[in-house]
Amino acid sequence: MSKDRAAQLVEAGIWLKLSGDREGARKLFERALKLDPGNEKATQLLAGASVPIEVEPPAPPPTEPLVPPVRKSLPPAPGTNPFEPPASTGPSSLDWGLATGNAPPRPPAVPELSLDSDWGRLTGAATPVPQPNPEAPAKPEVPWSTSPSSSNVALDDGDRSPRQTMVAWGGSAGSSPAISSEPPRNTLVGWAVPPDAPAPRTTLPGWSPVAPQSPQVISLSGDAPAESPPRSTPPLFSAAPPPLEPPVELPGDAPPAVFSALEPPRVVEIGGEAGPETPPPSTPPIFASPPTAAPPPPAIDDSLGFAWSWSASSPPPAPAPVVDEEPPAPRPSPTLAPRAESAWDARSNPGIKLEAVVGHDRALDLISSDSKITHPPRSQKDEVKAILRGARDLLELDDHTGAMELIVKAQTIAPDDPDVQAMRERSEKTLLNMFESKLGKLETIPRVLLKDDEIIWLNLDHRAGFVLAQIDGTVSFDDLFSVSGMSRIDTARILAQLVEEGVISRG
Amino acid sequence: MAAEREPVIGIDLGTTNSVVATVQSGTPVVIRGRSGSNLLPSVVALSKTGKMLVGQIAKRQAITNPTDTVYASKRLIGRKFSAAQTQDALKGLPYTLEVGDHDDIRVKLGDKAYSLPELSAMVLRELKLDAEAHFGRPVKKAIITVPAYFNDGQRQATKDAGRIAGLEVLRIINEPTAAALAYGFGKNVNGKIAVFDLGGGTFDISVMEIGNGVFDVIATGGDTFLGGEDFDNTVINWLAADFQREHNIQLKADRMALQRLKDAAEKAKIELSTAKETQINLPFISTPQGGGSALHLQKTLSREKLEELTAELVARTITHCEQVLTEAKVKPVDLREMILVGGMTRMPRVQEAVKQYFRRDPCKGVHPDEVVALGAAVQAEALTNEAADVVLLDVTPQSLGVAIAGGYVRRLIPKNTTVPTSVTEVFNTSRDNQTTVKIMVLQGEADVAHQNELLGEFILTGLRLAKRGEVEVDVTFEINSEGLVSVSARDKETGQQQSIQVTASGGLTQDELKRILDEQADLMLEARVEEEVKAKRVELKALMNEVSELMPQLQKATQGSEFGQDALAKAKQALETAKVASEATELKRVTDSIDTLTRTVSLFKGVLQRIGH
Repeated sequence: MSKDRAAQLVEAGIWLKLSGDREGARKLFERALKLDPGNEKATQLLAGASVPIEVEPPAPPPTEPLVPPVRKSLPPAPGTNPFEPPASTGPSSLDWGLATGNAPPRPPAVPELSLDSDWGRLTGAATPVPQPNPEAPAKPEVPWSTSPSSSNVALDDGDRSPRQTMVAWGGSAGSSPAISSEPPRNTLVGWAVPPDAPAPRTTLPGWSPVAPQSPQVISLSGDAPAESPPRSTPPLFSAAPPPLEPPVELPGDAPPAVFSALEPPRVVEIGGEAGPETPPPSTPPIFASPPTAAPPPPAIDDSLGFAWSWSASSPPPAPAPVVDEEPPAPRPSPTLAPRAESAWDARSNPGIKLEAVVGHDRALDLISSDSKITHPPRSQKDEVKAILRGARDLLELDDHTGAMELIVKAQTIAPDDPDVQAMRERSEKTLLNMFESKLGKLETIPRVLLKDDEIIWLNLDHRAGFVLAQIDGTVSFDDLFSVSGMSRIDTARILAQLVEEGVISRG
Repeated sequence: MAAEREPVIGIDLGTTNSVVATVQSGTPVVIRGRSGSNLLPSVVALSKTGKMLVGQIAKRQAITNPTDTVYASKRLIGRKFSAAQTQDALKGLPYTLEVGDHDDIRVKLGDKAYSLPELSAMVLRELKLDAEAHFGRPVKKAIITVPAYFNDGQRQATKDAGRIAGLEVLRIINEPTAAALAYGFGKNVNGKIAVFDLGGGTFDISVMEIGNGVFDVIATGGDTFLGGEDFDNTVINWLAADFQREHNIQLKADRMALQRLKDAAEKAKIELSTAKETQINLPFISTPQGGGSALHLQKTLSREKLEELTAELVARTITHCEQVLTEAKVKPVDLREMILVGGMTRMPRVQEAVKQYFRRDPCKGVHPDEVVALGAAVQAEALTNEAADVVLLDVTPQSLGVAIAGGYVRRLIPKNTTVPTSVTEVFNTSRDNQTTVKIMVLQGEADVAHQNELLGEFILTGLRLAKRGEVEVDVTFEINSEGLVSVSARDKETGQQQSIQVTASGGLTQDELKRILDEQADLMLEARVEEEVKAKRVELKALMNEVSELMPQLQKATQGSEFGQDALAKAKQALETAKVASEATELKRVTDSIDTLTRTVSLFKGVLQRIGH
C-alpha cells in the first residue's frame, strides 16, 4: 500500500518538477522515499535526475539566429565592461560561478500555468508545461542531444522555458553558449577559423582570454556565403587552444568525403557566432551534458558576447532515427586563440568540482531510453485522484502554490469534477488570504517606492507592469482589485510580490 | 445671527467629464472632488469583483472591462431605443443596450438592466457627495446643464437623474448659456457671441444672442462623435504602430496595453498644451509571445508631432463652425465675443485655428473645463439669492406646434418662449365633409412634420359636414409653470372639445421612478449608517489610543497602592471590548464602547490631575 502511495507521490512530484516547482517536487520525492525507501525512481529523481518523460520532437530550428529579446529592453548598465562578470547573480555570473565551482543557487524554472505566475514570481514567463507525449519515441541522452531531459537548455533572462538548444563547444554546464539546434543526430558541423583571425583583444583576471573569433561559414552546398561577418563580441569561454586549422573551403558540388559520410547531409550555414552541434573537440562529454540535477543554464547574454547562434540556410531535414550510439570521438579542437589561456585551464579555472556538486555520485548516470517511467493505463478519474492526492500532500506541507498548480492541472483533465472545483476554491481562498495578509489594510493607498529609472530594471511581466502603472497615489489596494482587469487572486499575488520586493508600500 | 443659507450647486453633467461648482462669498468656485480632482469622469462600471465604480476608477478599467463599463451615456439619455441615433450608437458601444417597456433604453450591467437616468444619477450622486464633503452638510438643490439641442425628453431624463440622485433640480439650463453666464455676459455684453465647446466626446458650436437678460441660442451644431478621445486615439495609433514596427507586437490587441496607451496618450496630450515635448514611458507594456522579458515603450512626443497627427480633427471643428454660422446668418466679424469651452480647447493648435477663423482672441480667464459648471453655479446662486444678478427664466427649449396638411408644421409656441404661456390659433378643415381632425403635437425646429418629435396626438370628432375650410377649430397650447403642456382643440361652432396633456418623458414612467427612488432611499439609508459606523469607529480608535496612553501614567502614579487598581482592571476590560467593537458593523456596539471609553478617559484624566501628574 505504501509502495503504491509512494508511486503516486513520485508521479505528483514529476508533475511539479515539470511545472517548475522543484522544491515542491523534492518534498514529494522525500515523502515517497519515507514511505518506500526502496523506491528507485524517487531516489533517482531526488538525486537530481531529469524527469524522463517523452516530449515531442524538437521544432525545426529558426532560420534567424536566436537573440535573447530581453537585451533589447535591458541593455547593460552604462559603464559595465561586457567581459566582466556582473555583480548580480544573473546568468553570466551564474555561468562564472558554475565554471569556478562556486555557483550561486539558481532560481527554478517558471512555467506559466493558468494561474499565470507562481507565488514569489512576477515574471510569468509564458512557458507551457511540457506535455508528455506517449507516442514520441524516447531518445537516449547523449551529451549533444536536444532531448529535453538534458539540462542543456538555453534560457533567456525572463524565459526559463526549455529551448531546443545544444551546448556549444567549450563551455561548462553553466557556461554553455546557447545555439539553436537541429533535431538530434544531425550533428555535422565543422568550423574553421580564418588564418588571419585577430589576436585576443582583452584578458581579464579570472576569465580566460578569448580571441575575437570570426568563424568561417561552412557552406556545404555552396550557396551560403563563404564567410560570415566577424562576431562583434567574443565568446566568454573558449575551447582549449589546439593548433589552428586552416580554413575549410567546401565547394557545394563536391563535398569532402568526411562530410558526405555523415548522413543526412545538410546544408548548414554557421553564422558568425555559431557553435557546432557535434561535440566540441577537447570538450569532455560530462561538461556537455551536465549533471541533470543542475538547473538549466540561464539566458545567454548577447550584449556580453555570448550570443551563439546559427542559422540553417535550407530547411532542416527530418530528424534522424534515434539510435543509441556512442558520442562522436573528440576531434582536434579548432584553435581560437593559440596559446591563449583556456577556460578549462586549471590555472585560470578550476572547473566544476564534482565532489562539490550535490548528488555528484549520480551526475554521470544518464537515463537510458528504456528507463522511462511508464504509466500504467488507467482512467482519467484515477489520474485526477492521484494528482489531487499529491495536492493534498502539498497542502499538508503548507505548499499552497504547489498544490494549486496540481489542482489546476487536475482541472484541465477534469474541468467539471466537483472535487477538483471544491479543492480549487478552498486553495484559492487560502492563497488569497495569504496574499492579502501581506498587503495590510486594503483601503490603504499604496505608493511606488522606486524611481522610474529603477523600475525598468525590475523583472516584471506586462501584467505586473500594468498593476504597477495603476499605482499613482490615488487608488487603494481595494480599487486596484477593481481596475486590474484580472482575477482577485492574480492581482493579490502581483501586489503581494511588489510589496515583498519593496517596489510598493504596504497598507 | 442669520441662519446659514442652504447650499446650492451647479452641475455640468458632461459626456466625458462632470464638474460641480458653487458660489462662495460671491465668487463662483469649482468644488474639488474627494479624490482631489476637479473633474469627475462620467463613467460608471460594474467591476469584475462586483463593485459599482463611478468616476476615475471606472474610467481606469474601461478598456480592460469594456462590457461592464458605461461611458458617454449622455449621448443616449432621453432617447428612444428605436431612434436612429440610438441605433447608430449601438454599433460602436461595447456595453449591452436593451429595449425597455416603453421603447426606452436600458443598459445591462451584470445581471441587472439600468435605465440611463439611473446611471447618470450615479455620477450626479458622486458630485453631490463631493459637494456635501465640501460644505460639511447635505446638499439638495442643484442646477444641471444640458446641450442646447436637448429636447424635452432628454431634459426630463436629466431631471429624473437628478431626482434619483437625491437632488431637487431647480432648473435645467443650456451649456452655452451657462458658459456665457460664467463670463458675466448679459450684464456687460449684449449682442451675438459664439461658444466653441470641444469636450472629451462631443463638439458643439453655438451662436447666441444676448440682450436684456435673454440668452437666445440662435444656432447650434457640431458633432456628437468628435472630441478629446479622438485626439487621444491618434496618439495611441501612432504609439502602437511604432511599437509594432519595432517589435512586431500589436499593442492594441492587448487590453491591458491599450488601457495604458490610452492613459499615457491623454496625459501626453495634456502636457503638450503647456510643454513643447513630453516623454511617454510605459515600462513592461508587453511580454513577447514566446516568453522573455517584458518590453518597455519609451517615446518622445513633440507638440509639433501631435499637431500633425490631429490636424484633420482640428479642421473638422472649423468646418462645423462654418456650417453653423452660415445657418445663423452670422459672419465671424458680427460676433462680439468668443468663448472656449472644454478641455480640448487648451490645445494651442485649436486656439490658433479658432482665432484664425473667428478673427478674434477667444475669452480667457475662466478654465474651459470648468466654465459651464461655474455658470450653472452663478445661476443657482441667482435663483436662491434675493440679491440676484441675472435670473434666467424658464423657457421652452424647442418650438411646439401641430402637424398641418401637406406634412408640415405650424408652430404655436416658438422656442425660448418664457413659461407659463398660452397660445390659441384657429385652424380649418382641409377636405370637404371632414368630420374629424387629428391633432399631432410636435416639438422641434424642422418645417417638415416627421423631422420633429411627436409628443402626443388626439382626434377631435363630431365636426359638422361642410366644405373644406368652412369648419373652424380652435387649437390651444398651454404650458404651465411646471412645464406641463396641455393641448386642446374645440369646434368653434358646436363647442365640442378634446384635449391632451403632454408630459415630457425621460423614458421612465412615474411608477418606475417612484420604485427607483424608494430603492435609492433604502440604499442611501444603508450608506449613511455605514458612513456613521465608519466615523464612529475612527472615534473609538482614537479613544482606545488615548486610554492606552493614559494607563501607564496612571499605573505609575498609583504604583504601590491599591488605589485605582480596580479602575485599571476595568479599563483593560473596556479596551478589550472596544477592540472587538472597533471591527463591528453595528452602530450600537461601537457607540456603547465609545461611551465607556469616554468615561474612562475622563476618570483617568481627573485622577491624574488630582494627584498632580
